[in-house]
Amino acid sequence: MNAMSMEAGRAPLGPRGSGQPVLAVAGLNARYGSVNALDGVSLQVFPGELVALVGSNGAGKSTLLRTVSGLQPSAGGEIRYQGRPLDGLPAPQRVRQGIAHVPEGRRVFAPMSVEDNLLLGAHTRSDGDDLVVRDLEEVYELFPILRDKRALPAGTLSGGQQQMLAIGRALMSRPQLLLLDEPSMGLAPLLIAEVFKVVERLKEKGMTILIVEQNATAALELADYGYVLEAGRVTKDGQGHALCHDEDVRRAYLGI
Amino acid sequence: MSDIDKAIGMPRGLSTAGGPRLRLAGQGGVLLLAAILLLLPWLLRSGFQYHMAVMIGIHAVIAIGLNLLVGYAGQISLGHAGFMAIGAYGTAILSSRFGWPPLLGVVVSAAAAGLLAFAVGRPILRLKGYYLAMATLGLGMIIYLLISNEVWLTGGPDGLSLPMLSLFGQDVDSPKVWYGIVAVLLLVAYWMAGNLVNSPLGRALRSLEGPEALSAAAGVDVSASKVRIFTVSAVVTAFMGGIGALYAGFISPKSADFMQSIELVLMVILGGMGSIPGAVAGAAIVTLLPQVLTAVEHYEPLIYGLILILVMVLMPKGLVPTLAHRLRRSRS
Repeated sequence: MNAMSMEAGRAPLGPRGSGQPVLAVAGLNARYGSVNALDGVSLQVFPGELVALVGSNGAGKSTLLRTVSGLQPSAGGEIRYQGRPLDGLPAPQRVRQGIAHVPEGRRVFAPMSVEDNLLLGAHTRSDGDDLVVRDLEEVYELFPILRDKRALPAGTLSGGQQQMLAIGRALMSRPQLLLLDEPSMGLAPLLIAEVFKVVERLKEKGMTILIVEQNATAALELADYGYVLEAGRVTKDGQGHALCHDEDVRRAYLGI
Repeated sequence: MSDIDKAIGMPRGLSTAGGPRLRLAGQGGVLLLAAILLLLPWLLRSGFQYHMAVMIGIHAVIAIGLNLLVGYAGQISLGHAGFMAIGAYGTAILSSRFGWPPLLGVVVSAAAAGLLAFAVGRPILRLKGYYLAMATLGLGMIIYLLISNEVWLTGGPDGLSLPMLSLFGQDVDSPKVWYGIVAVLLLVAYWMAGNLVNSPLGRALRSLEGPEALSAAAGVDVSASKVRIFTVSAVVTAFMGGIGALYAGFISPKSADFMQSIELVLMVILGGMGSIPGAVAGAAIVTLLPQVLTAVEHYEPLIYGLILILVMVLMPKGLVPTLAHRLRRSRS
């Protein structure tokens, strides 16, 4: 049973996950000055799950990811990762513990080479260069184009390639929880499909993913579970497929 | 051998496929520099020319260290002459007043400069851009004032003399031997800087050119990385300040003043930010230019300034990166 949803007075649409959630957010608040960006958000991500967070612009989706990864201070509530509270832990420490955040806008370190970008992703690891090189190979297998362009400055890549690089960089930290912020933003439709294919492959590999998307249909269809965020509050949650066909959600966010 | 094989063979720096600007700074760069340093004595005819070569070498090592901070990590310092002065005065005071072996004085002074940089680094490096420039400027000024005013310790405006450096029981008084010492130091600095740039710390530093939140999201401890490189550059600068003082045999507060700090930054910018060979080239230009321009006597500052403006307008990325870029273009 989903205790958080019960608290919020909503019955979960079905049993989810098993055991301890990788991420459990409870009553989370976040502020920009006097503006409440998050107003008591609760959500959970279970091992191996792909959870989508959808909602309109300014609903607080990115803020939630930033608060989880430690880029934005929380103003109340609790974030538990693998059962332990993350209170006040700085962002690099959270990366070390296995939370990898791919910020929105396919951000790469433009003057650095593609390979240096990927190796930077392994910055927090201390498990030896051999393993890092092996993971580098794995990322190159996932994104062959990055291997071809590995010596070029990341800034010379196309938008889609930069998004691949940003995801690859996050994977290099060996995450146990991958936070993807609007991976399809600003990409051509063909590339959007490609990005979602990548997300699907990561899911098949067993990666636990929390994805934020404006492209709600695509995200919810793929997701095991979904949350709808509205003005800093979770207004609906349920299995991805069910949410995708929910009348209210369709009207409000899918433009159907 | 594939790049990956090579990568495994390399101790800390995994990347062999660095950007174009890195390739120049790789092992090939060290060999080229070694060849130049070996061949140069055939071209140097007078003691004065040796003197200039030694000065360029000393400045080049400092510029390489400062380049790590300014060029790679993107953090300005207008106070590095202060660290140079700590090295120089520390060495002078410890060796001439307390009778320490000069080289021990250099090492201890460099360590002291490192401690100072580490202590002030955390609060200062939280500042950005103009504010960081102001804070480092202030740091340099405080050091300058202390040196000028504490006459009992530093000799004030009269300066201090240093004993002659002796190595293996031999006094080092020939410019050729000094040339050798500085050449070795320069090679070591060049090689170490190349390795550092391709190490995890180096990648963390280079990432700081972008937004800090992005670096933090990649797992980089932004403030610790900045403090570390600030400390490294302070130690290198103070060490060479001490070596330079031993070479000159005499120091005065002038070596600690604001213009000296500006010249150090100028070497980095002129030669090319984020380029190790650029730092060496910048040091050579800034050291040689005033000498060359003595031919035009009182127009010297005017022409010096004009050259700086022209280089910056025509080659905003600095000498070496611009030339390397043109070379690659013409090839392809």
